[in-house]
Amino acid sequence: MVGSLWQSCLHRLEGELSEQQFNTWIRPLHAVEEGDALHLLAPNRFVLDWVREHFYRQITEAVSGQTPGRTARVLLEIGSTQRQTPAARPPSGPRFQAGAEVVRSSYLSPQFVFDSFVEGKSNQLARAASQQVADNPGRAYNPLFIYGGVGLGKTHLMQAVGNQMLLANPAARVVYLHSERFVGDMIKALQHNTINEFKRFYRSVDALLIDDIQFFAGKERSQEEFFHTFNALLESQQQVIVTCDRYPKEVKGLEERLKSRFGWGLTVAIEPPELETRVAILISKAQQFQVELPNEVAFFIAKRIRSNVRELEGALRRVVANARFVGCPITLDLAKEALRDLISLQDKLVSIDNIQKTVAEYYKIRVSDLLSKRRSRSIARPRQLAMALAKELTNHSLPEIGDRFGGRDHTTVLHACRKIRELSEHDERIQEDYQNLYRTLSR
Amino acid sequence: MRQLALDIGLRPHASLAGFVPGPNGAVREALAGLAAGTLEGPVRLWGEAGTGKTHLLQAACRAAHEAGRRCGYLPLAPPRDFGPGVLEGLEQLDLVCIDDLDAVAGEREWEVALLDLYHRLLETGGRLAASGRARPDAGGGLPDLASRLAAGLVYGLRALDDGDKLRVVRGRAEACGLVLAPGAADYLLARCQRDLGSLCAVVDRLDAAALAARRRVTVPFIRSVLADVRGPTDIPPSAADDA
Repeated sequence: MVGSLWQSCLHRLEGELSEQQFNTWIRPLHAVEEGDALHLLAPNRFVLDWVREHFYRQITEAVSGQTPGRTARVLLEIGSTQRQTPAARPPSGPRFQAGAEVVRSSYLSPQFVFDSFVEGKSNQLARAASQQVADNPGRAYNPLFIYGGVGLGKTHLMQAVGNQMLLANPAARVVYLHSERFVGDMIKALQHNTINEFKRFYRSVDALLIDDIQFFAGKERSQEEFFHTFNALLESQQQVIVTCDRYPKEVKGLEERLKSRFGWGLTVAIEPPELETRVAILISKAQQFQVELPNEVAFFIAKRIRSNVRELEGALRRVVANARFVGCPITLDLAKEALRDLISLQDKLVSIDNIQKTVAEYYKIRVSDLLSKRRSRSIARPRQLAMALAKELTNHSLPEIGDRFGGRDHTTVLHACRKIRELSEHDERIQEDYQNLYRTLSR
Repeated sequence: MRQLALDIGLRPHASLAGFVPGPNGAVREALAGLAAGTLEGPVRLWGEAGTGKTHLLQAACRAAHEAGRRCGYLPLAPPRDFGPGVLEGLEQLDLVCIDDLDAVAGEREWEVALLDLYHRLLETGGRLAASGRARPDAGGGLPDLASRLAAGLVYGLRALDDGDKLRVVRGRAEACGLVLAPGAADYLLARCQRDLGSLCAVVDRLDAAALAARRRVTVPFIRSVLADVRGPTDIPPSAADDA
């Protein structure tokens, strides 16, 4: 019932509002009908206020239009109903609640286990340390501080420890969270006057895994709270694992006493993986995705994407998605095509200036010749070629292209494009020149 | 020479089916999967203005909604009337589409809030699609966020060729109920800024002008409408300077 009423209203509102307004402010609303009231649930205060201020009249008119003969009340509220999606992961650990609101859940990804972590020179110390911590939580190294650049596997190792602890003891209270969430939860607890429960909760867990501690920088109140939590956990031999994008001493805006405490246990680095490890990671990921990845493709990707594991994974996902899209097995050619924009060196926009410069260099003439009135074949032909390339590789209008070539008319550009197309069909030299220049400019 | 101003107001609804894919077929497929919830994502789009990023994100929203899934679209390009607080609670949605991501590059508060939203969506199983002009690895934004998005499907949208652009112009006109006289679409492609946003804006302008003037959209009519926008213009006879 509510579905059809609100759906009909949506249909009307979609016709009245711009697509952007509709998608931004109206689509996120969730409708619940109760008696003669239609409750519209907004995801947050801002959306609620915006909708109330800008669209309330249209919404009520749309609802009235759909309910002739009765008065339907439209109530705007903040809230949500339970989502019916199987994709939502159940929390693997305990929850902290601030008032009626669920604030903290512990979500460990089941994929992040030691078996799926590919070891190489760059990460073997961090892996060995994490394994020891997982085998002897609270005793081996406490705290364990893992640092390194983004996307190198810090979160994976940290969660692998948590998952192994849960495997050994399903009742263990393992809490994983990003440091930004710790800050957010603490603020909510302060707002809801439940800071004591917050403290009690975090000081009672068996393992606290805090990711990306660098986000604590400059947040003194959060640091203080974390400091006390940290001390309490360490005193009672409960495990603390912290990750950071740099060595603790190098984090600006972090209190000295906290930096010092991080040094009490073991601090290990993760470096970017070397080629062999990158290849092994790709093959391991391909097995997870249940696809066959030829070695030459793994090497092709690994040689080009060196920075971090997340980008490797993204590249592989892209190749797999393209293979599924075209319905072909993964080959080197398919990988090259799928990753063309990702690995091409063309990170600059093709501009008319660049085209003129490249064409002039190619034909060993000056850019000023291209812009001049000279009509000799040795100048006019490169000029026509450059115009044709400008039409092909840029979004400039033809009058604009003509303008940039010495104030020529757009019909001159059209003529040049036609001429080059015709010549390319019969003149191999022109065809080759065009292709060489096109390749140079678009790679 | 003055270019036509973009004036995008009410537009025909973006849909994945109405997207002319050209070389970007896999992108459409990925967004359809994301909208249906069959693909985990995230999906990150990048490309110049007018390559269809906004259309695709809005179309993904529409597809998600039609599949009974809750979704929202948030453009971050200025002017922006909201702060990062607008991201609160969005993890309740099945699909969140963030447009113009690089508009907040370097704005720490926004970037951290987006990173937090990413984590919350990961926990609730919500999907994320985001777009920006710059390559994701070009730097300038929060590396933690860029890196997480890089683990999903990253697509650089490639420009359409002229044939596909003509299809876009004709499709847009058809969606407006506008009948283009023979040669009109080719004329637009030869005379106007040729990115998709500009071409669609011209079609919308012609739609309004044709409605007001009750005229068919012929080449002379287009010429008069364009002249209103950028002053008198004439098309001289061919003045090719072929050697």
